[in-house]
Amino acid sequence: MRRGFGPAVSNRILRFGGVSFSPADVPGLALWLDANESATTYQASGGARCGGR
Amino acid sequence: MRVLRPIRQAAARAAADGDVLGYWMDKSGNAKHASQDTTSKKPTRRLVTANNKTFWAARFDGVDDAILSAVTVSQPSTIFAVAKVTSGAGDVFDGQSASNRHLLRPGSNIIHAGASLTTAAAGTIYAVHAAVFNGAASKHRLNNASLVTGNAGTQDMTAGMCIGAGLSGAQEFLNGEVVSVLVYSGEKDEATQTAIAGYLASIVGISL
Repeated sequence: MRRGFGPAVSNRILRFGGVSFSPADVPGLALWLDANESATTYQASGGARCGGR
Repeated sequence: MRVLRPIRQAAARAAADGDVLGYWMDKSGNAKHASQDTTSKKPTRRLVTANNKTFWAARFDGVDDAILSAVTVSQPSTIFAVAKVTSGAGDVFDGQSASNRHLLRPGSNIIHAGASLTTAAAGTIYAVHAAVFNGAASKHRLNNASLVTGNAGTQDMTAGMCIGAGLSGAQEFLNGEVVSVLVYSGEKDEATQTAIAGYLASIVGISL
């Protein structure tokens, strides 16, 4: 169930010719941060720190 | 005998407009989630409207906000970011070590991995940046148009990544918003960059 409000953003888009595309289709993906998905954003850190900031 | 274990309390989602963002999950599947423990340094998740689109962004205050990921990548590499600078010359991202930098500074349109590759400033609008870090053949594209090709240095980003701030002090904290960051190993060809930029542009209502 999706929480919060605001727009949902699909992980995929339709390109010319109806071909579906996602950034995850591209080899070599090392990191994907997306502010448009409430399921991926939390108020607490919930994890180990890295770096000094 | 049954052992009672403490219940791990689920962390609250940053679901409402203005919630602090202390943990930003990595959707790549590599578990390089970004985090910030100090409340005053956490960006906020904001619902914004621009280009006739409404979308979410992580807003950084330009003072001390930053969120950190342990992601690493070696050159050649390609990093995409959808961001807007409100004011100043803060960094959308940088490496976490002075000898392991991959930097994007839209306010003065610099990408840097040991040397600065600079072109005209992007302005205070949402834009899709693509930074290819590949030594003397590094490239910076804005909204899928080529800005500049040249030497951005040869450093790898092997000590993690900082989003919303750079390495060189307070002047590098971003006063602005970040919608998405994608990090790839390897230099992606123009067709692939066009596909990724098109996906990102669709989120913030930019026509490429």
